[in-house]
Amino acid sequence: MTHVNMPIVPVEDWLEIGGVKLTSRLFVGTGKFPAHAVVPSVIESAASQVVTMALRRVDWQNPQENILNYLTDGLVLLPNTSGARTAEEAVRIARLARAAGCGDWVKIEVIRDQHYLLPDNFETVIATEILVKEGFTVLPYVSPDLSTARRLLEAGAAAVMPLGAPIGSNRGLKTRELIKILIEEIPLPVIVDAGIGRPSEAAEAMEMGAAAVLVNTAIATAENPVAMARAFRLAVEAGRLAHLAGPGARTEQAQASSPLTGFLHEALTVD
Amino acid sequence: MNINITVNGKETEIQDGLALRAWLEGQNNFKAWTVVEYNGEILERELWPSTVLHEGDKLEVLVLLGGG
Repeated sequence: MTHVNMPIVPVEDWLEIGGVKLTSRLFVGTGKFPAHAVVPSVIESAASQVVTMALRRVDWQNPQENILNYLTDGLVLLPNTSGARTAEEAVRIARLARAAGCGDWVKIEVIRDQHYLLPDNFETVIATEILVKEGFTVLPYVSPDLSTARRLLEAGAAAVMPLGAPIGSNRGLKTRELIKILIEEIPLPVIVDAGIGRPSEAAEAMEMGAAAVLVNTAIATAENPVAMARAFRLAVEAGRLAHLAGPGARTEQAQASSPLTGFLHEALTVD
Repeated sequence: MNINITVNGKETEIQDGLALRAWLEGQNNFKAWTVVEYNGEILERELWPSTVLHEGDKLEVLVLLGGG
């Protein structure tokens, strides 16, 4: 299908979640930055529209500022339920985050394991069922597992967020084969969350057909977080465009790029 | 006279008869708090000035911080 007038950028390429049409497919986390003050430049550089944050007890000894004071209007706030070990705790944190002014979106994160911070898919499904009924737009963070994703779909989750590698590890798409299965089988946006450490890995996730990626540590721990945010933005856009463009087939043996008429070969053998 | 309440999991002695809002104003980080759970229930901000703290009350005072 060759046609000289193919549009480079599709006319409409929204990512619709919870009734919101997003043009950016790079969600950014706000943890681990040297200071809250860096966050606005990072979000601008990443051109992100969805931003995550966490709820914690006030530390009376050390001054803290509400992260919302650093975020511009118009961003979709995605509080996480980090710290929750059970569905019940996740539900409680989600309600508190909504009361704190975060809106209806929530990233469910239920973790018991302290070495690898791997999510408890079972508790996550239960929390999702409860919070969807309460009107939340629920984005659950999960280990990439098809059965879990099917249950989340049935429960009314707005997306599924499988991990690429353990949180904060910067190790990339270690779970790529399982994420591919979710992308193929689950009719929900699949957002790769956790583990992406380099823009090239974000591009790969997008080429595979991920709907978006969520990046925090890779940007926050870069020497220049603002530059890295831009690098991720470009990578996510490139990967998305590559996915839409439809990559060619892979083959074992070479497939010549130039015509194989071989006149030079003939000329050489004449001598 | 003083009473004991639990704030963010820690036993705390406070003056009797204080409203939540008045007590919070006496703490550091006045502008940080974003949401309060009072005896296990979320307490709307509008109710902070009129909610008087009693012996044995449990408070969770929370703030939104950076997170992934």
